[in-house]
Amino acid sequence: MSEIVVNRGILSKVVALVSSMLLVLTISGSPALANGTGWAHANCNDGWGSDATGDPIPNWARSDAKSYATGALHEGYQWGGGCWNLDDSDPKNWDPTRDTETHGEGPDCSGFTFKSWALKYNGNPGFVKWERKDYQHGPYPTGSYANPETDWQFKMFKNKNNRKEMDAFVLSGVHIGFVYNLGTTQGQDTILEAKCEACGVIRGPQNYRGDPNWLGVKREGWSSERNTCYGDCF
Amino acid sequence: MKRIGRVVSPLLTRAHPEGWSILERMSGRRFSLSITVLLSLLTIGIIGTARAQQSEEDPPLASIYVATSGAPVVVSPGIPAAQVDFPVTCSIPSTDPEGDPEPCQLQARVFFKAQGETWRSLSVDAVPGVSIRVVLPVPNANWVDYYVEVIETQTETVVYFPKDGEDGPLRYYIEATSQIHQLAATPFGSERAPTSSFSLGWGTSNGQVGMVGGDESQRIGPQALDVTDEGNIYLLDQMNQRVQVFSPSGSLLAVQTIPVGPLGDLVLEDDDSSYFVLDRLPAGPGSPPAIHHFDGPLLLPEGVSVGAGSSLTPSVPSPEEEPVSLRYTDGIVYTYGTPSDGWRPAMTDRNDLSEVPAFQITMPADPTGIEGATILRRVRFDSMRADVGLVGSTDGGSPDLESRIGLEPSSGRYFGELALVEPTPDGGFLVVIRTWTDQPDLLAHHEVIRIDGNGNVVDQFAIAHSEYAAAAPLSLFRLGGTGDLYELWSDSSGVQVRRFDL
Repeated sequence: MSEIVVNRGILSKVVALVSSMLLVLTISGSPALANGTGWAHANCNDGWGSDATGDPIPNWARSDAKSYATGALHEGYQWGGGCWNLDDSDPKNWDPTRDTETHGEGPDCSGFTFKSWALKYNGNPGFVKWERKDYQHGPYPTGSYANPETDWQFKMFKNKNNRKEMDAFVLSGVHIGFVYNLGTTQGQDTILEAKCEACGVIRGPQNYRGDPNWLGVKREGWSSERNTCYGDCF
Repeated sequence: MKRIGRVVSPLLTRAHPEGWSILERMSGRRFSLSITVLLSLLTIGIIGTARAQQSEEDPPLASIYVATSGAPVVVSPGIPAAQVDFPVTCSIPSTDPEGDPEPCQLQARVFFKAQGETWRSLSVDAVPGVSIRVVLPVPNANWVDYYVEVIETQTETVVYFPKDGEDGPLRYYIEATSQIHQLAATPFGSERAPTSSFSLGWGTSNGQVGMVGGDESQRIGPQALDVTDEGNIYLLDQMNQRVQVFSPSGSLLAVQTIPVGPLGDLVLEDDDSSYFVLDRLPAGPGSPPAIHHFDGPLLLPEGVSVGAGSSLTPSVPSPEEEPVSLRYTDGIVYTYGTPSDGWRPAMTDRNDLSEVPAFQITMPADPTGIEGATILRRVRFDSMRADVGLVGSTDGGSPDLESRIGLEPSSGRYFGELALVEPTPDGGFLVVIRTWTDQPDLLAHHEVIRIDGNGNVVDQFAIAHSEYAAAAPLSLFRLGGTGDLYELWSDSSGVQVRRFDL
């Protein structure tokens, strides 16, 4: 599915909105999990499409997001997905790539971001807890993260050196990954990302910060950490 | 009950060849049948109670992940303390397989020893999901060793980082700042072109390289290359589960089919007759990593399968550790991993590890004429400084920092990955480091710097590219056996293998 680059014109925004909606319908699969033989049919809750399937929650701190996202580590990857369990494996990790209908275990990178950031479908402030067993992707492909609307709950930041944990680096139309830990001795960052069908969700050093095509995007409105926070934490 | 019965019955049954049960032999008396049955029931009750107590008292261990990338490497003398925050995440697995993890409660203590002193300890603050704050002294000494103990109090899980007794402590050196070079930015358009290069297209045929589509249009291509003394290039084409060998001009010399997963690294052995492959995901997501060692001559008929070779399990300090890179030097294979952010010797059946210094934050290298020395490398997390040092000792004593340089980017720029650090025969360094800027109209590029043994910059040039594409890895560098710099570069059309004469 090719990505549409959005400029600031109204017509472009309308096109982008329609495209996003179409992309959501496409990559989320329609009908949902009612039919098919993929892993998700037997193991996931069919609940995509609206806020009603998520649980509104009052707080979501960066540490909550980090803990939630870490649970997906070593699980599978599914384009347009998805949901996952906690068994550190993917029963069908060599499924055909870029096929939303295989309904295997795991999220893709943009769906992983949506669920971990506890975003709402309508872009409103606040948090929705998406259970990991909800087959959810959310309405945002990577192009949306790379060029968000002004009223959405995530924003770009220019100087990638100012990244914080659970901010993300995004390459429009390609990929998005979380900043898991700042800096490595070799000048990279530890990135947590839903990488590929054969890879699953992985964690390790990546050079995204130093590549000019990769942009920094951060969620807005994080809750404060409930424990002691040192200095300029979030 | 069956297991308990198997334990109890030999004690009480008259199975002994002489007709006595074990208890009877121990007591010196024969028991009546009723006493025997009573003792059996009593023993079963005791064992069963003990097993029940054991299962009730064994909560699941917490999963603790500590990143040590923020550890200081060199600190200036005279400052009151060295402080560093180590990010820590912790969770307690739910006893319900479908349940979510539970939050943790942490305590931490740092153990430290300055050169010439004894070990001491201090309590430190630890906040799950945030960090462990370690504050260390800066004494009048050359270095300080330290490690941290972390305890999750509900499950009584205890972890150390680095892992005590196997990897050695972390260390920082105390030395006054010297030899700081602010790199002049190479003007765009003045980058140095490669001396030679050849291209390979995406595909599965011999002479092409494989890639996988991940998200949308992401490409994941070959993960590694290494170069023999003759300039032949070994390319890890793991998406096609093979290694391809090319001549310096790009002619295909050999193809070896190997069973590997999608991500990994490759390194040649010293005599180029065999190679090691780090297989990060040999059986898909969550599978433990492996190191394969493939024997065999360089030249084989195309398509010959070499099987799995010998496989090694990388030594890792904790279940959370994930090796991502390989090096080979002085007959030992090393892995680099996260969250330790350091190099450690891999467990192999060919290597004696008893004499290997195992310090964190050092990269083993093979410096000419300096046996046993290692390279120190660090880019500060704020991207404004890179430190490179040579750690070694020629008198058999404890390794000290023997030479060191600091690099700073030019105004308005930042450092990205420190792609390569190699010592040079004159006691200097060859460094390849990415510099980038937040100005969108300016490109990033890799700066190559040669610094001599007197700390003078003797050569500097940039390597740039016209297209920063979506392929991964973006680029990687190796110092080939020829002494030249090699780069593996990926873009939309395929990969390039580029050589830069030094």
